[in-house]
Amino acid sequence: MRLPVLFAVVVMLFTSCHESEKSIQVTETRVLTLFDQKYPGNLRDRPPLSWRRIPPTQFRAVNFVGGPDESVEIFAGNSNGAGLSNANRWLGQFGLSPVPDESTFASIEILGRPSLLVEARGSYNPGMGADPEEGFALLGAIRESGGDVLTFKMVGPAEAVEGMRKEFIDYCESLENVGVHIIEEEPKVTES
Amino acid sequence: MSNSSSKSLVQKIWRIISGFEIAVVCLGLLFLLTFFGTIEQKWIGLYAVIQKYFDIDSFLVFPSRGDGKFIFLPLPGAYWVMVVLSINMFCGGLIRARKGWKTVGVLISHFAILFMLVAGAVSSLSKVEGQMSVYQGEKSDFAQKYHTTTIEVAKLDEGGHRLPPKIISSASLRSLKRDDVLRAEFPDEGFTMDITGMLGSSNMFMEQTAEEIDEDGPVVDGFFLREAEYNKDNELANMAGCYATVKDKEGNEIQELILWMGNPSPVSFVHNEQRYLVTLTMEIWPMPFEVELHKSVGEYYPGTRKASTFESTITKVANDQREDYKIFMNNPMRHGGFTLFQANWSDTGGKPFSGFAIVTNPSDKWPEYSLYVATVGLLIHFLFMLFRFSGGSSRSRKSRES
Repeated sequence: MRLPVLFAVVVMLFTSCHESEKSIQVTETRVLTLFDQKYPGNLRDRPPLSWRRIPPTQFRAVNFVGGPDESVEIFAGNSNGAGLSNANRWLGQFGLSPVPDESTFASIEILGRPSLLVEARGSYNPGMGADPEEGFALLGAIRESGGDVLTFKMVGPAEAVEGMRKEFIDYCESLENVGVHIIEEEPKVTES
Repeated sequence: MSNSSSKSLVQKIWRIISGFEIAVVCLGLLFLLTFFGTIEQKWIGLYAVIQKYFDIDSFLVFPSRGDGKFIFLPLPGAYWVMVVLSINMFCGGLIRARKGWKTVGVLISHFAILFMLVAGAVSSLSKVEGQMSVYQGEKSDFAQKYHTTTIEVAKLDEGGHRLPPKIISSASLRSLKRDDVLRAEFPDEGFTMDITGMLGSSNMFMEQTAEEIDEDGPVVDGFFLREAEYNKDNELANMAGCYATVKDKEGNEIQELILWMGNPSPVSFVHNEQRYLVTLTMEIWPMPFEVELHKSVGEYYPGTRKASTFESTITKVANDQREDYKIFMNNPMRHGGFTLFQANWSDTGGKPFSGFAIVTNPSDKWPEYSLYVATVGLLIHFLFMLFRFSGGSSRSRKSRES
């Protein structure tokens, strides 16, 4: 009698310690809601298929990797300060001198407003204790609207960044403001 | 001798079970629970009070003030008091009660009360609850079910819009532990997803900025998960996290992903020239109506960020019909079996926010029906008593006259 009990206990212990692996088929769907129409910063984007969305961070509301071996980082976010000071900060990351005015930069249109197109090449110092990266390039766009500064930045090996130049500009120019979850009408409450 | 003594013991037990004494004690306890629940609602709100006093998991209730100080002795949970009352009502009010034309009204009323108690039990066991979170000036048409974790995988159309997502259900993910593997096959899409390292409560860190990295956990796209202490007081604060490895039909790895419930936006992978978005989230619960939040006002307890009072002005939009409501304590909005009441409020970041608890309940209308039946039963009983009294009076008058 004792032997079968001991055997059962050993089997139970063995099965409980062993990691479980199960398999399911996923066919369940749900209807679309406003949850499916929410975009970071209320901006709907159309990234190229070669870009992959990775988790956002405090300063990167939109965060992609792309290019050869996903060596290029593409990210967007809101920033403080004027457009020119942001552009000069980016140039500083490549050890370049600040420029006196915005006329140095080319311009593209983002969300109906002319925006700065910032370019740099050389040794990239990302800060936060990270080692400098040689042979890197930056392509960035800065859109200013009132006190709101939107920044788009692509950083990676110079050759890869150059190869993705058109994709980046197309991406920035294709952004759309989406506010389907914003109420358009003024409130008019009659019943309580 | 022993037969008769055991029979008398059974009879004694039956008398106790079906007796008035239990009914009186239960009704007394329900009075106290309702009284202290109403008082405590002032501090913690309607929803929290229902959870504390009336939930099936609540066996013992400690009536307390907003600062946590007890204001009465511990009481049994209202759910279980009502279970005892139902058994007592069934045994005493239906089985043991005298049956005949004279008691038909009372029997109907007892049945109606029992039906009301059953309605409460059905509600407690089968209702679905979730939260709709809306900022002032915005609208929503979905809630998120409490205590659920799902993985949604959505394909995009050519315009970049999401198509209806495929869902790895909460039932499949609920029992997963950190060392378990769930293989989710997507037969229509031609890939599988291995879910591993599931954590019920976690934080996500960047490898670049983290002070230390867990040796045993993977780092994906420069991020990793670390288990966090489970918050029992505020379960909504627990952020689940896991890893997903996407593989093609041949078992070749397509992409490794890190999924965390705290992420406001999805991560993606590409398979067969098609982009998929993957989100770990509380189960999305589509509503048959839209809520527009026009005004969200509230106050905090002094020196805290805990809301003491809140009120919302909303418009419900369903089938192009617009109706305006004010939602405040004890004044919910109802729509086709859904009840919406405000559960929390905040104005973090200067933008007021209302959290609406949404409940759907198949027995929502049963208490109303039971009240109608009880009214009919009591009416029959009182009319019968009135006729008997007036009949008896006239008979005694006649006998006095003769």
